[in-house]
Amino acid sequence: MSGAAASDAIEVVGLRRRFGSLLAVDGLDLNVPTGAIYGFLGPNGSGKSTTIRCLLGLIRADAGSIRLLGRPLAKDRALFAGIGALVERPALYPNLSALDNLRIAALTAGLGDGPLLRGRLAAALDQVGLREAAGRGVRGFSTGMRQRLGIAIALLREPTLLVLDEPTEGLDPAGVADVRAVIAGLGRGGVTVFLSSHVLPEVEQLCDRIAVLNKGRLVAEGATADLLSRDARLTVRFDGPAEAERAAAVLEAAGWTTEPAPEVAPPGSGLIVAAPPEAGSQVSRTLAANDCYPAELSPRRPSLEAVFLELTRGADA
Amino acid sequence: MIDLLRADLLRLRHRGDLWVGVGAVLVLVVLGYVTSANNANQVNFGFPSDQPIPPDVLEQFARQRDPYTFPLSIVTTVQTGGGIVAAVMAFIAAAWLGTEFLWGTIRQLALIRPDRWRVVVSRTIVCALLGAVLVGVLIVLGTVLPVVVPLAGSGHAPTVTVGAIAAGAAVQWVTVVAVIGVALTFTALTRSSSLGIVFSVVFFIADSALASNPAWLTSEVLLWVPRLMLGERLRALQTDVQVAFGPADPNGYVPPVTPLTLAAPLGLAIIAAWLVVLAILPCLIVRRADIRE
Repeated sequence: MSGAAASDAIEVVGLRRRFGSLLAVDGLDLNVPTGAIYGFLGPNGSGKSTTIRCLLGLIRADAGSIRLLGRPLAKDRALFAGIGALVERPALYPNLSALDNLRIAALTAGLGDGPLLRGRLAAALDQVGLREAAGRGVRGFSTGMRQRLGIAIALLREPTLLVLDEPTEGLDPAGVADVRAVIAGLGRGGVTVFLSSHVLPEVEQLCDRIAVLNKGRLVAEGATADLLSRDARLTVRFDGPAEAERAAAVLEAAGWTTEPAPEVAPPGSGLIVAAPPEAGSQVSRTLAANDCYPAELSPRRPSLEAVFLELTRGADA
Repeated sequence: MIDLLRADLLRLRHRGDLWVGVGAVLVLVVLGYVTSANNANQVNFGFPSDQPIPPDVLEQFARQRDPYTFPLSIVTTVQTGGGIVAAVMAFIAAAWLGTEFLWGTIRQLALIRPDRWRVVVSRTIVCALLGAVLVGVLIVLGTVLPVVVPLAGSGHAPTVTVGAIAAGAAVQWVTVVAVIGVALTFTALTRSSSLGIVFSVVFFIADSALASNPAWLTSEVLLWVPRLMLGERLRALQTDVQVAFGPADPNGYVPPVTPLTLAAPLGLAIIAAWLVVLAILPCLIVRRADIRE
């Protein structure tokens, strides 16, 4: 875990929240560096939503402290002017149009209702592709359109910290790609994005750092690349099963654990070697010294999904 | 706060139940007035048409038409319509806050405005203003309806001062504001429009039942229980205003002094204290609530 730095956009220390007998968040410490796109992962019921709601002041923590943008949440509610958020499904007034929903958000935020703001509202609707539907009642909107409008509202105050909880839920593939592009653009623009999502490839693609929560506790935190390399191994392909069998014996004798690589064709001609990618040359030398010559040797990085499942299943055990 | 008020007005404009409520006030007040005025117009009710009606009975019938004679007609519509306005405003206030919880928009409001109590203050102000507008509509109806429903025969023309009309309207508005406060408090507490309305009705029925309980009469200390009750004080305020500003009763009738009667300034102070509590309570509840919607 990274230590607290002066530039952290989110600093959480010892966060705890209980609902009756259920300890939803159990002493969570979290530091989100300013400017990072930070993935916040966890299975259902892991305490993600509770954490996000505590961060945003929607629910009270039983213990712990929260600092956002360098200011304490408990004392300084004015800091929310720099924070945008989309928590779960966007909550909208179904009897109002998209534009009126945005206007109400702007008025509630104290942004006024002048011509300048009207331009900003139009731009916000443009950004999420809802310009044409601005005057339509939200009641008739699809889930994806509602989600886009929720994102437009979250971006209305041009936040420096954006908290997004499942922002692509309900979106079609094109919508997912659009939102991903918006998040990436915000990240490039220096906005800190705290992203909670179940779409792991999206998180893997977007996020600089990732935290994994399980049963209210942090089970992993770090740079995305570091997390993905923690269980990295090597895949070695040979010309045929006989060579692979001989190589397995050589490597086992040299102290490495091997197993068949099921995805390599023809069947039986590939090996997975339990060695980090940096040990590739050493494996190669060992094989060559025993007259085994691999056709291909490549690092085998686990997907974020595999890391996530391993971390959360491990904690269950 | 101005922006919050503007946002609330924008929301309110698009609420169908607002227009249904305003329509209900108009229809019920007009219907009630027309029916009562037509009853009062029956000059020979119960008397055979071929027999002369004694002058004292004619006088009595004429007095029945007094409440529908301008300008007393204004006092009549304000008094009879005030209850309808209070009920409609309780419904609108509860529905308005309750749907924020139902739709989950309370979450959006809390995210944008962490000082969420201001949102409740703004809503209370808008509801109170709307209540004032509806009481104003009652005054207009009281002015227009005597023209639309002319009286049979000559009614008296009791003198009613502008002060009496203003005081009557103010009392009705205070009642409406108190009812709005109760509705918003219970809605914030239960996070539901329907439960908010049900609890408000229960509150006022319980208030009325408790105030009339003779058990309080057994001691001077216990007497303060009904004396401090909101409904009792609002009823007493209406009587006080009627006595102070209303047309003098020809028979010299003065409402009896009961053990619950308090000096008018003390009664006003108790109502003011209730209004302050009812303004603060929903704000506190929403401010401290966990928003799980």
